[in-house]
Parts: sequence; structure tokens; C-alpha cells
Amino acid sequence: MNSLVHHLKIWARLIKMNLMGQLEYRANFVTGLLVEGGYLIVKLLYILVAFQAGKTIAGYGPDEILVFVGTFVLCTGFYAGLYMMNLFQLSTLVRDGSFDLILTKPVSSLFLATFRRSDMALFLLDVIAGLVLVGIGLVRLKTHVDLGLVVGYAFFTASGAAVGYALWLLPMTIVFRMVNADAVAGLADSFWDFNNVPMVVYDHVGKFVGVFVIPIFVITNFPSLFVLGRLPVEYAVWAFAAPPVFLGLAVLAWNRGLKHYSSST
Amino acid sequence: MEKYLVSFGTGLKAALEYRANFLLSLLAATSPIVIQTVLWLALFSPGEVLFGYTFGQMVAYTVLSQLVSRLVRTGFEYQINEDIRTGGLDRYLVKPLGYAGYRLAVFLGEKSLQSLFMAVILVVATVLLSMFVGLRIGPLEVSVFLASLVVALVFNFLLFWCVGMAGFWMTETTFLFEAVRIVIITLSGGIFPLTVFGPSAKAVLSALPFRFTIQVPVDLLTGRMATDAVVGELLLALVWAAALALLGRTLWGLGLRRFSAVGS
Amino acid sequence: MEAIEVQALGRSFSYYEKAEGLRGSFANLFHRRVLVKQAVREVSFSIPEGATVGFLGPNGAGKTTTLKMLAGIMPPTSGTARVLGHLPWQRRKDFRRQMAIVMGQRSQLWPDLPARETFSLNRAIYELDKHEYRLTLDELVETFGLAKLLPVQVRRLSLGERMKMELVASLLHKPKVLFLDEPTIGLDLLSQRAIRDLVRTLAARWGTTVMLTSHYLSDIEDLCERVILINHGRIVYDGELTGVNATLGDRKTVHLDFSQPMELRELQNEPGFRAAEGLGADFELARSQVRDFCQKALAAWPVGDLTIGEPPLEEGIARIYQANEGE
Repeated sequence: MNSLVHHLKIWARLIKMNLMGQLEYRANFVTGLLVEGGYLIVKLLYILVAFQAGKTIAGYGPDEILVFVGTFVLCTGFYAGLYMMNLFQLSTLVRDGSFDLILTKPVSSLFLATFRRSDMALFLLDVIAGLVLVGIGLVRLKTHVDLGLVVGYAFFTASGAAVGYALWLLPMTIVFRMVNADAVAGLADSFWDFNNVPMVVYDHVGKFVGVFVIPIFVITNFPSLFVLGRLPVEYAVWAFAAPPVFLGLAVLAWNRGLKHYSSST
Repeated sequence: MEKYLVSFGTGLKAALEYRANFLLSLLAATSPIVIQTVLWLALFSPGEVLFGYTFGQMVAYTVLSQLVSRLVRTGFEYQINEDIRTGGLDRYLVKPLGYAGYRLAVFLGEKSLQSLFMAVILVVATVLLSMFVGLRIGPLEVSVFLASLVVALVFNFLLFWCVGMAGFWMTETTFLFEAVRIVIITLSGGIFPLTVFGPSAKAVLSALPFRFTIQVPVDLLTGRMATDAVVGELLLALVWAAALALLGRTLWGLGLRRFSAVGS
Repeated sequence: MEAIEVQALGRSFSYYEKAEGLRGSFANLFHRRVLVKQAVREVSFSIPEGATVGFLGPNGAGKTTTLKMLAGIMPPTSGTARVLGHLPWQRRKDFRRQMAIVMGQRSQLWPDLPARETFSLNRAIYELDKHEYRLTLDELVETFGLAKLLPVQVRRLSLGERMKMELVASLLHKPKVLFLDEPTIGLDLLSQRAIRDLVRTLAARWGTTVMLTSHYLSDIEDLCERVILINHGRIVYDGELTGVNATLGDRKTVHLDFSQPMELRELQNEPGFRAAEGLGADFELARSQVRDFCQKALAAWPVGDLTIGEPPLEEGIARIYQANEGE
């Protein structure tokens, strides 16, 4: 527990420092939000398609799609705001030797390397936009919102965020062996959009693979399904198990990769 | 003239060096192609027409628009900004067509190599599409497609030339360029065909130049454009090209004046 | 227990041979030759607590690699070492809490923020007690004379100021061992001297063990009583700085200032002649020959002034390197 508090304190400090640094560059701050806004619009187009088509998709109507995509936007806030850019920069960190300095600090190098940078502006934009969309969807569906629903939604979102972190970190653990891991980061990033469409459109095999093998669907579908009252029990149980399993795998892969680390000359 | 040929060669060499990046961007198209195809599978009832497309046409559009958008994509706006920052612009200040011509030559050089890669991929894609969704492409479609690609490249060049001019007035342009690019791609039909925006929006978008970069070439390749509409489209394209060129020229002039006054 | 104990430490790097030409690139698709570079070989030494030792060598000699191994950044491929009783590459938390490394070409400071923000980050990372931290920070800032620069963005600081901040950042947790890798590289002379003074002052005050690598002799001369020379991954000398010359058989320099211009040829004929400029000439001789030479010179030439000295350290070290080149 002590260790957790220690890491949280460091994280809080890092977030504050990032925000301070961001506010130095006013123009970038604004245009950065514009970019995320642009990506947001693209995500919203999927909702537009659902509404314009005016029919159900695998038994889910446009309002439910609104909840799904809203959750996707919310989760993107965690991804883009809290850890994504660190994954992109891992290659540079190793190449220019800054990683050496991280290794000598008495804190997990994985933690420092992947949570170093954050963008609270993007985080807030996506989280707020996502919650608004989900809220609108739930209101239109006349869902009864109580504390249990909120807590459950928060839990499944947190579980999804942890799985997302682990899943996107796993391919990046090759950064210690490969010089050009940037390409991997870019490619992995393109797969984040897989969650733009609810998993209900896939068949049994697709759903199984996406939930249990490469649990990309756990990230945004579970909270949505829960709040729509359609989450099967086995998925709910998996939401407890998946994060430690995949985080464990990611940490293992990271430590394995570290053994091969020989520092740039 | 020789200078332009050399610049063309520069673009070609650069594209060769960065071919991995280009191929990677093509791989990144997997995600939208897969999720949209699955979406259409779930949405379309057999024989239904949605947003003016049959299922087969929609899937074809999904695949081809992703490929075309990556082919016509620019990047030189960042280099224009770089040239403005570092003062590398000075060499070209004498003749306006000098710098624009240089940039265009490099751009076309890059694209010529990427088109070679893309040609192979497009052939594979169209064969697969004909097998799975019954897409039919004949020599007429291919030839108008190729012609429209040239138009698309010119349009994208003009559009992003104008965008690149922002470097004269702003120092931090990276995110601005990216934001603008996303919007332009969306308005070009690079995410979904423009008909999903609804009839009134579609009408507005039809008058704008953006669709010539993605929507039009793909529609021509898939044979969705009626032959009697072609002349009208061509005229519209010419008008827009002239307008954009004029805008680009004006912005360049204004920017240069500021550049000389303020320095880089 | 010594602060740093190194036994037969070695590190090799394997890499693929890069073939020449198109044919070579093609052949590489099928079979690539693995080459091995032995960056550090059979290095042994020990450093007692509180000592300041300089690690000197040309580029590529293996000094930085050795330092990185001792800092726990990479493991050796042979041999072993202990720093404060720990095996560095196991990177135990206890170990990391007691050591610090400053690398001249890399910075831990956040460029867009004032240095004090990075200091606060380190306070959180090293879990320093608030009061203790304040005291240490005040002491460091006072000693380094940085009070006015604390609120300035690191980007806006000069290289010398940045390095001072870098040192402060790495000393906040009062490490027992401090590794400095080329700390004065790229700095102007004044800053170089300032950095050396500060390191010396603090090391003495806190009893820190300091191990520093450099290819600037002046760093070593100023800071260290003991120097370890490394070349081609091997130690070629380990001892007092003053002893370097002694290893080479004691040479001396004699500088003569003449009261009248001299024939160059006459000077050049004299064994031991090194250089002549204006009314002065330099000679280098074995210690045993100095006396006879001086007597002869004073008798035969119009000598106004005579100075006997040591050859510059660079020469001594260069000779040691050359002596080892053959190996």
C-alpha cells in the first residue's frame, strides 16, 4: 500500500509538471485540443451513421450506440491523456540515453517511462465529451441512474483502462531489442479505433478472440454493456481477472526486455 | 526546367528512403477497413441500399477510400514551415513560382514512387473486391480514375499549400496542420462517403473542393459517376483549382511581405 | 568494506557486421556475421569511501561503459563488482537510493520548467522528508550560488548553470556514491572550474565517494588524487596523478631564455631539443642528464633564465597509451 501511495504521489507531481509545461505554449495547447477535437469528430461520425441509418445494429439502437461510442471517447481520454504519448516516446527515450537516468531512480522504470508525460487537456476533453454522450444516451433510453450504476460503470471503465494500458504496452516491450520501435507504436495506435464499433457486430469467434485472447473489447464494451444492463456474468467476472492477468504479462515482458537492455553507446 | 527535374528526383529518393513509413500507413488502414466492413455487415439487410450504396459498393468504397486517402496525403506543409523557420526560404524568394514549383516537383516525385506501390495494392484490392463483393472495373473506369488521381494530387497540393502558408503567421503549427488535415479528410469522404452526412450537408459538400481528393476518384473507379455528370464535375474542378491557386498565390504574397518585414 | 570494488569486470557488445555494397546487403539476408567488441576487459580496482577517483581515457576507451555497469545501467558480461555492498545491475531499491549519476550529455531536468520543479519531483521519487529536503536544498543552492536562478526555465539557463542544477538535482538525496560521466563536457573554462570546485567542496563535506570520467585532464588534476587510466577497455595505470610521470622513467623539461638570438641549427643539434620560439627554447631530458646539460648550456650559451619542470601530463599519459598500443 505504501508503494502504491508513493507511486501515486509521484504521478500527481508528474501530471502537475506536464500541465505547467503545457501552459507555457498557449498556441500548442489550443491546437492540441483542436486535433483531439478532430479525432473526436471522426469518432462521432460512427454515431451519425447509426442514427442516419435509422435501424438497429445487432439489436442495439442508435441511443445504445451513443452510449457505446461515448464510452469509447471516455476511454480514449485515458489512453491519449495518460499514457499513449509515452509509448510513442519510448524509442526516443532509449535512443538518446534518457532511459539510463530513469533506470537509476529508486522507482519502477516501467512506471516512470510510461507515465512520465500526460496531457490533462486531452484527458478532460475526451472524458467530459464521453460522459456527455453517455449521459445523453442514457437519458434518451430513460435509464434509471443510481449510485450502483455509477460505481459499476466506474469500475468497468477502470478495469478497461488497465487492460488497455497493458495491451498497448505489450508490443512496445520490444523497444529494448529493436531500434525502430516507433513503427510499432504507430501501428498499435491505429488499432485503438477498433473500439469505435461495439463488439456486438462481430460473430462468436470474433467476440471470443476480442474478449479473452486479445481483450481489446474489454476496454470500452464492458462499461457500456453494464450500464445498458446487458453484461453477461462471465464477462463481469473476466473484468476482475483480465487486468491482473494482462498487467502481469506486460510487466513480465518489460522485465524480460530489460534484461536485453545494454544502453546506447 | 532542369531544377524541377532535380527536385522531382529529390522527392523520389525521399519516398524511397521513407517507404517503410508509407507501407506502415497502409497497414494502419486495416483497422478502419475491418471495423467498417463489419459495421456494414451488421447494418445492411440483403439487397438494401443505404446512403445510396449497395453493400458491395459500400465495402468497395471503404477499402478504396482508405487506400486513396493515403496515396494523396501530403506532408510538405511541415517542410514549408521548416523553411520559413530556418530561413531556407531565402533561396526562393526571387520567383514565386520558384518555391511553389519546387515544392510541387518534390511532391510529385514522392507520389510517383508511392503510386507504384499503390498500384500493386490497388490491383490486389480490386481483384479481392471483385471476388467477394462483385465489384466490376473496366478499362474506362481505370483510365478516368488515373486522370482523377492527378486532379486529386493537384488539389491536395493546392489545399495544403494554403494550409502551409500559416507558417508565416504562426510559430507552432504542427497541431494546427494535423487538425486541419483530419477535417479535410473527413470532408473529402475519407472516413465515410459524403452521403452519410445527409442530403443537405451533402449538397454543401458537393460544392466544396475537398471531395475531389478522395470521394471523386473512388466513385469514378467504382463506376458510380454518371457519364453526363463528368463534364459538370470537370468544370467545377477547374474553377476550384483556379480559385485555390489564386488563394495560394495571395497568401504567399502576404506571407512573404510579413516574412521580409519580420524576419524568420 | 570499500565503497566500490571491481574484479575482472568485462563487457562485450555483439553486433552485426554491415556489409559493403549491394552484393553485401543481399548476402546479409542469408547470413550475417556477428562481431564482438570487447569494450571493457579485466578491469579491477577498488575505491575506499570518501575518495574521489578520476577515470581518464580517450573516446571509446571503455570509461563510460564501466561507469554504466557500476551504476547498474547494464550488467557485465564477465567479472563482478560491488558498490556499497550491492551488485549494481540487480538495481536493488536500497542501492538506487544511495547512489546518483550525472551524465554530461543527458539531462534529467525538465527543459520547459524551472529546475526547482524537477527538484520537487526528485523529492517525491526519493521519498525525502520535507524538512530534510529543504535543508539540503538550501545548502546546495547556497553553495552553488543558484538562488536567483531557481525560478528560471531550464531552457533559458546557460550550459554551465544547467550543469550546476543537474548536480543539485542529483545530490538532493545525499547519495553515498556519485558517478559523474564527462560532467564538464562542452562547458567554458570558468564553468568547468566552478563545477570542479563544487564537487570537491561537497564531497569533502559529505564524505561522498566520487567516481568521475573525463577526457579533460584538468578535471582529473583538479579533483582527484588518484587516477585510473583506461585504454582499449583495459586499465593501463592506477595510482597517484603525480606518479604518472614516474612510471615513464622520470623525464624533465628544461626551458632556456636567451639574452641574445641563437642559431636555430645549433639548438637543434643538441639532443633533447623540442622547440624554439623567439628568445626561448625547450628541451626534454632524462632526469639523470639534467645536471650535465644545464652546466653545459650555462657555459656555452648566453642564457638569461633557466627553468626546470615536468613534462605536461598529457604527454605522460599519451606515452602510456602508446606503450600499450602494441598490446
